[in-house]
Amino acid sequence: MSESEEQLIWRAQQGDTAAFERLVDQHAQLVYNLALRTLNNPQEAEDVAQETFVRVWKALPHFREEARFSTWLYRITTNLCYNRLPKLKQELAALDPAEDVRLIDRSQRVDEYLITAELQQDLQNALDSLSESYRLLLTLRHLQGLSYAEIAEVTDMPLGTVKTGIFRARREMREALSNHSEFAN
Amino acid sequence: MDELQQEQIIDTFLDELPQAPLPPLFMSRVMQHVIAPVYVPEKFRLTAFEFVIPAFATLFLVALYWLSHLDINWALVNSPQLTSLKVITIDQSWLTIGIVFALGELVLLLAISWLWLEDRPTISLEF
Repeated sequence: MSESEEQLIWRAQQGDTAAFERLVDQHAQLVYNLALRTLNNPQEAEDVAQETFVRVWKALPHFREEARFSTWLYRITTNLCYNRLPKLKQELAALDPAEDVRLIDRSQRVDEYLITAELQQDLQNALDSLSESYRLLLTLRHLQGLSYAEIAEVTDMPLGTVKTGIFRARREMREALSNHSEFAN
Repeated sequence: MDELQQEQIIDTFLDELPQAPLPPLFMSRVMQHVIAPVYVPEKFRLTAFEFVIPAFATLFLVALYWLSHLDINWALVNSPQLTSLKVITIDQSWLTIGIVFALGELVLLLAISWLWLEDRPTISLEF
């Protein structure tokens, strides 16, 4: 019978390295990809992901169940990314939380689009051209599937700042694709 | 294509973006740190401020020290034409302060060089 995450955390808090290894196994790829998409550097991302789990192991006895384990992990990863790129946090903090943002509710999605290889490549280029702070927000939203409130908690930013950042990131992607024949208005 | 459709394409793209696989031996390296912790120093990093300001201060102080030892400088400062202007006065206390600062900067730059050699730093020219 597979153990729940709570049981694994409890065992790891008692010093059980096998339980901790299973926790690492469950979360390592998401943590690595969060760092990779934010930093855009495989070596740096590996260092950050490794450091994240070493810090988690050391801090695990102090972990309280009020927070989700994954949210706590992403917060540590994000803080390590901030350490690597000081301007990342400055950029996020500089966003205007009062900006009027129009984020489209995902429940409004009516149908799936078949994305051609050419459009896929242009979307990838548009994503790569975004600043680190925008890539961090989009990764937390889409790869990790966090809510805006959870992203605010992970990044230690106000909710309004997070919404503004995601809105602007998507707007920049749309603008970068404005010349694409399949995508243009 | 309207804005809603564009948003949906971006959503679809971001949701379906494939995840990169973990680097080889990632798990074993993490567990090695957990089971037998070894000291791994933080990567030493330099920002532009940390590098440029000490370098500028050092150059400035060395230039000040050099100027104070030029006979031509003293001659210029003490020349009858400029005496009344009092453009610059470099006395012994300024010189002592300059030497102390220059030595401090030298020690700092030696420390930076040593850390650099030890840990291959990343220089991020960020302000």
